[in-house]
Amino acid sequence: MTQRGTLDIVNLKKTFNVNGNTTPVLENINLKVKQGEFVSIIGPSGCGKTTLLRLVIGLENSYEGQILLDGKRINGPGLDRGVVFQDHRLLPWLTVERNVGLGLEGKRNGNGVNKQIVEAHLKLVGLQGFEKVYPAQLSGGMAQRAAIARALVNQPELLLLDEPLGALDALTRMYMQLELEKIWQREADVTMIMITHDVEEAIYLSDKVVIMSSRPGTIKKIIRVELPRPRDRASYDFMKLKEEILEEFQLHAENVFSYAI
Amino acid sequence: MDVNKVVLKLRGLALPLALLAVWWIITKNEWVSAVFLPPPETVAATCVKLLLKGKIFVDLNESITKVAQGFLIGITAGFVLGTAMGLSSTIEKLFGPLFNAVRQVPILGWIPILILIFGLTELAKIIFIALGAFYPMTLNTFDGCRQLKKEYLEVARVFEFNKPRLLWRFILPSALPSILSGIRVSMSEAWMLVIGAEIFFKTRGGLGDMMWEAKSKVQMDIVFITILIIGLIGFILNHVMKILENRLLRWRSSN
Amino acid sequence: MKKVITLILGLVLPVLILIGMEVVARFELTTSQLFVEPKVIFETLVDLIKGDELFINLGISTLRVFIGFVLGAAAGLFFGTVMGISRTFESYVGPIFNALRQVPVLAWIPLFIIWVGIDEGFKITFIAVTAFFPMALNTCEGVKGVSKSHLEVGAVLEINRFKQLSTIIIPASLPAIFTGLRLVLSITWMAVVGAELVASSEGIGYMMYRARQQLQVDTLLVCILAVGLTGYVMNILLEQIEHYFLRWRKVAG
Repeated sequence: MTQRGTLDIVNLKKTFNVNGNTTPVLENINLKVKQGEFVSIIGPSGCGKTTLLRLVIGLENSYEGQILLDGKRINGPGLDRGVVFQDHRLLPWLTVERNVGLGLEGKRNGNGVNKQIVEAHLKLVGLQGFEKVYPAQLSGGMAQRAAIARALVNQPELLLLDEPLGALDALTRMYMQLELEKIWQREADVTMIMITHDVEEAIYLSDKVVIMSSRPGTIKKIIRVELPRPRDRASYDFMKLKEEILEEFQLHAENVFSYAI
Repeated sequence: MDVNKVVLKLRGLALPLALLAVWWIITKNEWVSAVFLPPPETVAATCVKLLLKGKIFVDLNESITKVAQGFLIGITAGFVLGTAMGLSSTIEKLFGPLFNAVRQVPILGWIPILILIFGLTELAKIIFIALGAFYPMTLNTFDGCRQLKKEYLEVARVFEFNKPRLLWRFILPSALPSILSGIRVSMSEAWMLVIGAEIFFKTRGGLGDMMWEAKSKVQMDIVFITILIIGLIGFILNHVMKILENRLLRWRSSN
Repeated sequence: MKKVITLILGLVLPVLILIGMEVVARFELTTSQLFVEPKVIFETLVDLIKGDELFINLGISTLRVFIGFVLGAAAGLFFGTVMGISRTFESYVGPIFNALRQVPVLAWIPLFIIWVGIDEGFKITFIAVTAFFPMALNTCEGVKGVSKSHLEVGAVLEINRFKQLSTIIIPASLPAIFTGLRLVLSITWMAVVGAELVASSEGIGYMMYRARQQLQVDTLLVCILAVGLTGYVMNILLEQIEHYFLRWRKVAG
């Protein structure tokens, strides 16, 4: 019996058909994610990391190999997986409250139960008081928090984040990283997988950083991050790890330090 | 209200007042026969007389009843066909070409054939009005149903929404702006066509008939007043729809 | 293959309607004078195409539309541009323009008949007025919508007022102007039919009016077909012109 929220990817291969030519997008992907782990996937654009995530979400269906959630093969989307997209994708015609409650609509919970769940999650992401507000009135960071709350209301085993902070400005982004860490710590048994191309963000948040390379997309290296939390971005160990990862992308060390100043 | 806005409002009044003055001077000096241009005071007096006599309200009521029936039939049919074509590409391919072909015929061109088939009846007029409301409603609803972005469809899939919930929560709300403007356009179209129907079908009753009769008797003052009333009602209908749109589409504004 | 299926699906309903009419004719399901067999309609169509009547009337109507369209659209274009550029002008004229715009176009007919009579002048005036309002409105909105940054480019380059109009404002509002033109085309085409139904002794609207009085359903249907087709062709012509003028909007590749 596998634990709830375990993801097992075995010998995954995915090809796309473009004008009759088959191009491999992902090849020989093997990845194990334990319950409650925070894993980041990082790689250059075009390395297939988004395709990998879409396969786990279930938005792409045909693949070779196995993607197993709790030992069961993934086939199509399901409420056991929550998703946060880069563009928050809140429905503009629903208030924040109803957006967050979207996933509960099918469930006939008793009086006010759904309302309580929604309230609790708004509190979790720090959006109390914004229940009746429409998405167009929210800032980017707030909208993304609402999207995170929406993804969590169904108590998914797995939270999949597709560059969730990619569209935010640098300061909001750092702030949201703190928030995301807090959320992850409070929802201790939810496994989180995040796609990013920000190395610092990956190290700051993850237990494991998966580095991918492109054409075809393969896993180049998996680096464990065992720094104590909350992590200090300026610490020596943090910088060393960052350097190590950047080296994988053949970026020189000087760049790292000039960037850090 | 700041001074600038008051100035702008006052400027807007300048031209109408000047026109009124010119009108008054022309009629005072009888440069133009009162038959073609009755003096402003005569028009005002006739207006009061008409309102007191009350027959105008009977005509008004008749026009509005007719337009309401035609409009409701037209937008309902347009909503159904537009949604069906928007949701199913098979239905679109089936009905689209015929719809587009029929639409090329200017709406007034249908009058003779409607008269031939249905005679000079209320039914003929209502069908005529409904047809006029039907086109813009169908087009706007169809367009609206195609508005939903692929990204949102993915959200629906992630939450495992079934077809009816997808329609209710995603497709119709995203189509709403387009549908509402369809209703507004259909409404002003229907309002124009009810006047047209009363003129072209040459039957008794309604504001259009009142106008036509005034024309035949060369009662210019009544022609003026009916134009004014027809314009005013058109304006009110449009305005009410706009208020409704703003209320229903509050989610679009960022403040 | 897909295109063929689309074409076939599009033909299903028209063919069904024709078959339905044919069945009614074969089995003599109706004795109504109003019912005509598809065969008769087709024969009338061929007759009318061979003869002059249809084309003369269509030509007259088209000429009326053309004159009214040009006059009304030109006036609307000018008026709309000035109103879009000058806020002072708009503040004086805007309110009365917006008030007059509320009157449904068909409601002007009686007024024009009294003032202008029922001759050619009436038809042209009526068509031009129906063209004027939408044209002015679209142009004005187009001109107002010219982006500030483009105007700033003009200011930085110190282009004079006239140059600014011809090189920035007009080209930038061209898409809105063409939207207006297309709208105006379909409205004027409707207006000519209306004007001819009310008072005329020639033109396609009159031909329809006469066919109705003489219960010639076949002629009436052919007229409807001709009116629709002419409107469609004019629309396509306008689209071609629009494509030519707006070729800078085309996406590369």
